[in-house]
Amino acid sequence: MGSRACVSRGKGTMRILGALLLATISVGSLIAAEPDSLFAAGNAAYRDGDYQGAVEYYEAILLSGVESGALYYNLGTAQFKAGDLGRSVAQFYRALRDLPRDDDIRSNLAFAEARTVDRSLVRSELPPLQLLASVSDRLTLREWFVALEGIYLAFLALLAIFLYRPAWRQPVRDPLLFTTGLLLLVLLFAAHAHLERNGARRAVVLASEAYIYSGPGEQFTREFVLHEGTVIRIHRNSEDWVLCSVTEELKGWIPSQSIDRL
Amino acid sequence: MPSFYYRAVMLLMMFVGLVIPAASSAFEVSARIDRTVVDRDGRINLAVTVEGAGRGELEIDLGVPEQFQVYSAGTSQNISIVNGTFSSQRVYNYVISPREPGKYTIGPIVVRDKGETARSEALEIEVTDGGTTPLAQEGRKKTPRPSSDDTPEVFIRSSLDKKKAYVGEQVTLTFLLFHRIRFWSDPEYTPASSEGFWKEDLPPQNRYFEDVGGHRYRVTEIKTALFPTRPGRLVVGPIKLVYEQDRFRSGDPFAAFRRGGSPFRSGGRRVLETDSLSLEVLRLPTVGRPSGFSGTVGRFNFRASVDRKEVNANEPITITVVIEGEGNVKTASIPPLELSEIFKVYDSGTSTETSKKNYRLRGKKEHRRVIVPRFGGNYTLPALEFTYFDPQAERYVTLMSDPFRIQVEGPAFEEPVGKTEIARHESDLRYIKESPGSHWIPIGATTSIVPFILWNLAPLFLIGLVWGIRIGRKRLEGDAVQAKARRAGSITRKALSQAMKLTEDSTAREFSGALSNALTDYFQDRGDLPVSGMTRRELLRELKKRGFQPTLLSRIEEIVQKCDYGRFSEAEFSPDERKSLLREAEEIVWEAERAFREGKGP
Repeated sequence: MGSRACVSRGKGTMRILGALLLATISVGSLIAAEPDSLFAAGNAAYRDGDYQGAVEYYEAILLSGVESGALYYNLGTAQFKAGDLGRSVAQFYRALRDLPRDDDIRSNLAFAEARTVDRSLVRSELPPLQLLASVSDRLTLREWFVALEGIYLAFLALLAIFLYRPAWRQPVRDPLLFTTGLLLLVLLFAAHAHLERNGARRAVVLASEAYIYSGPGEQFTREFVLHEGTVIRIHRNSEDWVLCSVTEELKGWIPSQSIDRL
Repeated sequence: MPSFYYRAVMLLMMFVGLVIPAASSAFEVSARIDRTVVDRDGRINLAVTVEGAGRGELEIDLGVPEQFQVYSAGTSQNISIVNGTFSSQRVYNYVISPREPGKYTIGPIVVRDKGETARSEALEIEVTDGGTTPLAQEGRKKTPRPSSDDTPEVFIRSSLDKKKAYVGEQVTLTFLLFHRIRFWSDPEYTPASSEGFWKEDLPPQNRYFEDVGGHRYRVTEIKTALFPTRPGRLVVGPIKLVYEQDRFRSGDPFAAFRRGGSPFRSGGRRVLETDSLSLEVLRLPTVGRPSGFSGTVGRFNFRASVDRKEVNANEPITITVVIEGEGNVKTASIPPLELSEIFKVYDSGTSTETSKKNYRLRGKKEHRRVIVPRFGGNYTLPALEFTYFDPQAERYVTLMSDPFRIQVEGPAFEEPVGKTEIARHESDLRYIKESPGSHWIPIGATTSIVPFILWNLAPLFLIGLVWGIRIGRKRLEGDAVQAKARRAGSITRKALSQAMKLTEDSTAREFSGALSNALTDYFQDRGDLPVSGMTRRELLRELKKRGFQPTLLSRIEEIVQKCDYGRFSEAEFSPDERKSLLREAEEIVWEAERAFREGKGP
């Protein structure tokens, strides 16, 4: 009797657990289905030529708290079609973070940037920094850290062999040196990628014409003007103003509401 | 408070407006009459407008023939601010009354201001023998020209300065309000409907006095520029005016009581309306129309310039095109720029400034294009061509810029040869992605970098720690010389204490041997010297190299000699001698230890 009661109690517990599991799976699938259905609705609106409607669907996904490279790509494309050049450039840059080797994103970004007025100005970093940025942009941040982790493990293994197996020192010496160099290089790229993507050091101008002042306020001198879609570098903030630069020479303060931080 | 500031600012602006022209030496004079044909009993209103003159009295010579009588009808002054520019204008109003029919010329009117002279154009007037003379055009059916017998207190008129105009040509609509009463409030002016026209208001409003039918009227003049946008007969108007008479402040204080109602109330709303005016709009001639004509009408100047002529490849050049002149410059089309695919072309913006001096719309349109040459070489940019229609000369005018020659440094463009190039005719964004991707990423789900770094540094630290311990141990264990040296002192002390036990019971040979062995082992271990294979001299020489002092060396030599003497002879050492030798040996070891530490010991 006691054992039957025990079995019965065990079956009840299993049923409750099963129901809980089922509920968890159902809620999880609903949460997952919501962005998917919004994404599909956005795509349908885009297909029908309702670009503003597509933008609203895609932005609703962002409001639900999730993002993806494809989402930013579609949002940027729809915003461009709806006439919002500045925001579309910003979305294409965000899409590249998740899909850095996607040819469609790069193509649309180039297409949008070709329509910006200040396009030819934003190319003045030092060649080594340009190389660093271009290599760093080829992988996602996650990919950089996975690569870093793999190379680091290899480095540790080779180092341990070198230290504790004197007999293997000679054959291990060159691979260890190579791995050390590679590790430092990948560390540099990963650090650059991390700073660029999490440091909010870049932004895109949203206003069709944004004046750059010599100080954080409209009482200062208007030094030059930037146009919609121009990518700027952020240096520091002061209340509602941001110190930014386009090149080493072109540096000044811009209202923070005129830009979209990447 | 705001109204106080507003008044202060306006006073300041008026002051600036009055003072700034006074400093200027140049001024302009224009004259205007309200009709060119008048009957012998009629009157002509002459308005002489002086712009930009000083504040003092002006000397005005009207040049009116003696067949006319001239009456002054007052002076008005206007200060206007257009596009931030102050301008001062004085209008001298006259009523001239002809005596005899005929054709006459009034003017040119000469105005002198502090030695400077300006002249207006002469005005032609025809005086007929009788009958009524129209003002300018229709517009008086509902508000007929008042006669001396029946002159209403308020009436309105409207007119166009032209009966015919080309599409795009300025036609000026003039609205006149005549009143000899005070209004209870500002009259409500409803502008003419202007379908088929591009419309521009022409400030400032002109105010002056005019005598009509024996009454003196205050006249308000409002002008509007109309630009027909299509050919055919177009209708302008009607213009409506709603006003309320101020009974209490009228000239007759009892009028309100006679008409009924309260003296503190208005005299009721009255509505006046002009007739519609018609305008024949002519189609622009098709004969001789240049292919580049895009509909601009007026009289313009045109110029184009580049900001630099020598650049590197992929550097921008700005081409600035300026169209300036009389006409509706806002609708003027910028000439297109056709360039080869070597250049990328971007529009950089257009700015337009307009002015309405003398009630004619003028302006300046400036357009900037940025071109970016992609390859090196010497290029000639084609001349830009701007065509407009001049309605006064009734012909098309084409203006051309000079072609620009630019030099571009950089790799030259190479035409592909042999095969047909596949060219894209149109380009567009690539299509959206159908799938959202393999996963959704939670926004803001970034992990801190610090735990990652610490986690990865831990194994490296562990390896380093183990390696350090291992090295230290190896050093301790692996270096026998160091170990022996470190242990030499304590071993020797043990050996000497054993030799001490031999001081009473043993022979001198045994005692000397133990003492000699203790010292030999000490120098061998502490100094890493092969003492057993060395002579006494060799030992001393070696110790000297290690920095031992001569006194210590002589003491070592002496004790070694005594030990040898005890070991190899039959001599005996008394217990006191043995103790003395042991003490001496201990002191030597002590001194030697210090010498090894300070000197070149191992």
